[in-house]
Amino acid sequence: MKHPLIQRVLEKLFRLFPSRWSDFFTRLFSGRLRRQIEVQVTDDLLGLLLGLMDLAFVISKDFRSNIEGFRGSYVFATEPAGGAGIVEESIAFENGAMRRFDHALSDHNVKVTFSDPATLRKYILSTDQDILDLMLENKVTVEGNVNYIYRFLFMVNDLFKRIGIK
Amino acid sequence: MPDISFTDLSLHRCRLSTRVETLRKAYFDAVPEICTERPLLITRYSREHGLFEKERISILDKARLYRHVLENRTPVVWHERGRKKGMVPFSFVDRQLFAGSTTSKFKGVPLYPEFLGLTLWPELWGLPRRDSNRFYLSEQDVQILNREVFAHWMDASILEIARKRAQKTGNHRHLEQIQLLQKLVFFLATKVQCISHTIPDFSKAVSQGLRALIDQAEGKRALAQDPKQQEFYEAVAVAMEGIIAYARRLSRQARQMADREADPEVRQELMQIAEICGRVPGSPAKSFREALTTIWICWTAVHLENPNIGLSLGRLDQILCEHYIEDIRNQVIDVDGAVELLCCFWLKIGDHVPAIPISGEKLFGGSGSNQAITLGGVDQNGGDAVNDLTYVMLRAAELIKLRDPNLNARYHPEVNSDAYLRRLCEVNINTGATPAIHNDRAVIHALTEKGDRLPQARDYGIVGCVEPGSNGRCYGHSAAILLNLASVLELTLFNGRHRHTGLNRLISTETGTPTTFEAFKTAFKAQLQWMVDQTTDLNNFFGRVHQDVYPTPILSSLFEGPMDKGKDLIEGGAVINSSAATIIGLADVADSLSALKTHVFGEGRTVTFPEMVAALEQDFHGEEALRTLLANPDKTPKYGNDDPKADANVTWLLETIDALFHEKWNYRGGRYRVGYWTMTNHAGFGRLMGATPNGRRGRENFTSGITPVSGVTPELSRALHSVAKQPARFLSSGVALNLKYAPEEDKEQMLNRFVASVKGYFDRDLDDSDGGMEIQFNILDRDTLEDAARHPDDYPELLVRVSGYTAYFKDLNPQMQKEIIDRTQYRLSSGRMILHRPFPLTGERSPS
Repeated sequence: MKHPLIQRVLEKLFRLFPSRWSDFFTRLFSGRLRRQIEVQVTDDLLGLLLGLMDLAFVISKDFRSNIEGFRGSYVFATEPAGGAGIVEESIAFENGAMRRFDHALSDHNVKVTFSDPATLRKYILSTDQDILDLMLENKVTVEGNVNYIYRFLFMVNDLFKRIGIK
Repeated sequence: MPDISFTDLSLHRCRLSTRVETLRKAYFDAVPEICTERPLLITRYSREHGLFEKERISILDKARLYRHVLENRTPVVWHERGRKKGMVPFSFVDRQLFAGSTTSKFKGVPLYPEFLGLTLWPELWGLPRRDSNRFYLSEQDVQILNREVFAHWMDASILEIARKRAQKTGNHRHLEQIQLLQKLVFFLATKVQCISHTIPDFSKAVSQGLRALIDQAEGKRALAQDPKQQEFYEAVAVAMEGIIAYARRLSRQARQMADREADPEVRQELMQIAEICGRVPGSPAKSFREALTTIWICWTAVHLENPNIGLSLGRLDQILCEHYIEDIRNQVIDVDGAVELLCCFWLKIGDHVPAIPISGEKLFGGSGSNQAITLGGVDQNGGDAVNDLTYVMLRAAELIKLRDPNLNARYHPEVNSDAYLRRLCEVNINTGATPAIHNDRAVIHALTEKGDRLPQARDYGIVGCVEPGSNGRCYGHSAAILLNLASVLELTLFNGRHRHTGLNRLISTETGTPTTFEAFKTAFKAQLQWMVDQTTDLNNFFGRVHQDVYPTPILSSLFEGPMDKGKDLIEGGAVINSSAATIIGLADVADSLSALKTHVFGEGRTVTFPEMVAALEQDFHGEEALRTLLANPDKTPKYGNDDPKADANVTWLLETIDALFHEKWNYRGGRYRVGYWTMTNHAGFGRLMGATPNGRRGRENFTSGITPVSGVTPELSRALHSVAKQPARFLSSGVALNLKYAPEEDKEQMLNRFVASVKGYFDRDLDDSDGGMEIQFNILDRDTLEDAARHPDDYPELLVRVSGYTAYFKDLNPQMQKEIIDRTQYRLSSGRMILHRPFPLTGERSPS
């Protein structure tokens, strides 16, 4: 979340509600992500997913507990169709919050490179999300500690479970 | 020669008892449940005692950790419920004769976050619903694993510690090797997954009791000058105290249950359990049941320390025979009682399954824990070791038909009786898949060639699938390296590059475009050398990480060598300290060499090398005539037809591979050995690989073990001769020859021919060889297998031999099911192959 003040306000506000309310609000904001999933568009799937995670970490104490005490940083690199060059973005977890960056962090725990947007989609949405499966197909390259990817994928699944995707 | 007291070696009158039938039904009804107890206890203790912060974890640290777990884990005497299909809880009457369990669940999945346990993290929510081999996991346990366990091991698993060390020291070689490992297409290095793959020595625990081992350790500690030795002996004592404490807790629990029990018969059973667990394993076992209890309780402790992958129980008919004979003589038990005890023991051994992520299931799934038990053969003096208990164990296995333990029988053609071999074949026909049969003469020769002393070699047991290792004294980590030989061929064909990783990327070294077959073999050998260098170097690196952070006080206590040397098993404490690689893709690569020699480099060449490479790149599209030519055994020499040209390429590969590996030293001061058994990796690696010059299309399975390629070996006797002539000295880590026989109406005639086929295969007169080393069977008709592939739920107990271990057919992935269905099937009455069309993969099948 870009504005720490908004983040703090939202955190405090949503502490007043039961956790299922937080999940309900997160679900309200998941419309664009759902539409992209439903129509199989991959334009900004990762961006939407990270945005929704970011929101969920703020408003859901329960979901936020996934990153309590967790410090780690990720770089995601994708090669959009049409040879437009590699797009890199990063996320970092620290002090129970997630931060997003539109560039590759030089100091990261793991970097995941997707060969194409379809692979990214499969990576995020496949029913048996397992990084190994895509590594087997040689469509994903992981540099660094693969356990960080396992944790990230758990959080994605946890989010989807909360908002009723899958 | 021991006296065999049975007139009916088949023990036909012995049947499953009601107790065992009830337990067996519950066992097959039960879905495996993830158990969080071990990882939670381990993680909490490690955090509280600062083990995550330590660069080196001492053996004493580990011993205290395991003692803590043994003193705090749930003492399960009898289970009350399991989970069945649909993850619904069900109750059953558990009247097991052995208390204790590998996990807290009836059929549990132990987790080892120290190794690859975290691979399950992404799918924790989906484990009960995934496509194959579902595991039950409660929502509460998902949170426990997510927050209290896995989060703490992200930087502390063996692989990540190794990677961090390589990064810290700027060791790019190992970092690149780890990258190669993660490509999965070149090799697998299993030290990141386990230590395991060995046979503990239970004889002292049974005959002397753990208290005596503690006394010995304390005595040696008092005399030792070296602080490391002192620490080792202290760790042994601490770990053994932990095991005794666990047994006493079981005893107390049983007594408490007895106090509450109204039924006098049940109360009596519980009191008996309480008494036995109060005595053993601390004290020497006084009866057959106590001896089994000692082994069982020690076994749960060994699995607390080491992942459930290939840990094996060894020659139990030898270790337990005296107790059995004594009890029979004193009428403590009868044969039926012994069979019941063994069936209960078998069920306990199978009370856990390995945790495999879904992609692992897709590629390599269906495996149990591969806990081998070895029967028969010769003793350390070369005498006949087959005894009454051997036959009782065979009968128990025949009746209970479980995947685990993986039963292996030794047979010495010059020492063991024909009646014994006949019984082994009969059990194979009756179970359809077990036991595997090993030729003692060939195996013992192979082991002595690698330096084992003759008595050590004669006392071999089978580890995991089919790997021979001197019982309780050889730490050989027989599956340390799983090498995809087809990738060596690929690097040779594509000048150091691999289609899977992209032909624009140089992986190994450029060996050019060969113009002669000899030049091709030279290039192949160079690529093989590169692969051997990478795999052994990485294995040694991982082994040193084990030495720093994963000492093994429990396994070391139950092993011959460490107590004498005052040294941990993983530091080289065992008497024999080998490591081993197993090779996947032998027959396909050998046939590819034959194809290249005949059609590319031969006098009547039909295709140039670049044309062959281009055809492979195109997966033979537009080159069907070439593919047909390459696949045709009448036009292209094929291993398995007793064709000297084809078989010579196999021998060359075996000799070359053995020589290159045997040059290498491991991190414990031993040398590398080589085996040819593939588990399900021939299907997994096959799925990743493009077309090969033997006419195999891309993504098709490779052939298992040392078996000739399916469908190209029409005559059984020729197939057996081709394999049997391969020199045993190059096969010191075992082989799996998979044969499939069609069931026949005339059982007696079938049995006669079955025995004759095994005897012929083991015959030493063939080419002055030792005869074939190992043989294992599936005796199933094709219709059954096809129907089971289409309706897996109708065949929950259908047991098959994969390549080494036995598996339930329903648990195998579709590619592996296809491989077993498509294996060459022979009719023993004709000795000829039965022709079948290839079975379609899932998605291509029409429902029947």
